[in-house]
Amino acid sequence: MNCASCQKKLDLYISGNLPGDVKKSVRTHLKECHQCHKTYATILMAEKIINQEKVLQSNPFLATRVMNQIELKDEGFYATPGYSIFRLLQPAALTASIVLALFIGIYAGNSLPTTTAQNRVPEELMLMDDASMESLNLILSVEEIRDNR
Amino acid sequence: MLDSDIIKLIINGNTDKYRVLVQKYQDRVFHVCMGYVHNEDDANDLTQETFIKAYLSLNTFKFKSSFATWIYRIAVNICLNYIRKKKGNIIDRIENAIDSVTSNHKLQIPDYSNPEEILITEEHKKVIFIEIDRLSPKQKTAFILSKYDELPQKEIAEIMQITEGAVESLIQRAKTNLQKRLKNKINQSNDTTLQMILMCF
Repeated sequence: MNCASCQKKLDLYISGNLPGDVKKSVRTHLKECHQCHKTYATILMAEKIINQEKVLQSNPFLATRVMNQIELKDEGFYATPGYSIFRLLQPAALTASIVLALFIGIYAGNSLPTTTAQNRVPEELMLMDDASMESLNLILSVEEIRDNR
Repeated sequence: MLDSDIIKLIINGNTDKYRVLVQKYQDRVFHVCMGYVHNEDDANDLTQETFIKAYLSLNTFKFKSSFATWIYRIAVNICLNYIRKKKGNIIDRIENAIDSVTSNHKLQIPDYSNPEEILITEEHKKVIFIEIDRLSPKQKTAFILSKYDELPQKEIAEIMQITEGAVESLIQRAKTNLQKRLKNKINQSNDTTLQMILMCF
């Protein structure tokens, strides 16, 4: 069996719908041919993934949800002027709320005292020059000399 | 009670009977939607939309086809429209581009930590779903109806309003395209991964 013939039969081979002798020759070819073996593995993988999706079931409340929606439509809820106005005003209300939130944020930020203001350094200390201050060791040594006298 | 009798009752005002039809077909429609979107929440939303649209158009149902064929047709149209809109969305396009780039890399790194689970990883799923999505709308529809709902070619032909021969050709081309593209992707991956995949079946 050649590769083209084998790959054509792979679907039927996987579903088990090949006659015995053909099935055997496909199996033999798969053992010998690396490329066809890869194709076979790929199809099996795809089949398995699709089967995993097939076992999923729809939402058990779907029928109730559909019936509720239908009821609302039958009552004309979506056609009422109130609903139309609500739909029109929705983007405007959203924009207004964003602008309002921004203003509140800016106002709150400006009205609170800043940390730099709280920890402000007194003016007399700001004028002090650390570099020109005398060394403590020097003062201590002068005191020591005085005491010795 | 036959579907056509239930529909007649609904048209005459007994709307509660629609619940029977929804319950009867919701899983089948859901599977079709899953085939297109591969996401449970989206598939449930699309299933709901399908049944609401069908209810609103029930007056136009001509009883020439079965209700099943009709509801499948609506579901397919809704799903194709949803995908078309989604493809136009710039954020989704960026996400898909990122996905396709990252999936190329990740497929080459098998995780051997749990041999039972490793065989089908999220990355493998992503690659398969991307390749299904890349099929043309007609090939994709024929493939999904045949694989996900296991519908006979005759019914697929009725849903798609084409001949049975055309359905067979579409399914065959879809399978060939998928095989070619997946083989190219998997060729980049480690051969040991494939051996592990085979062991699973």
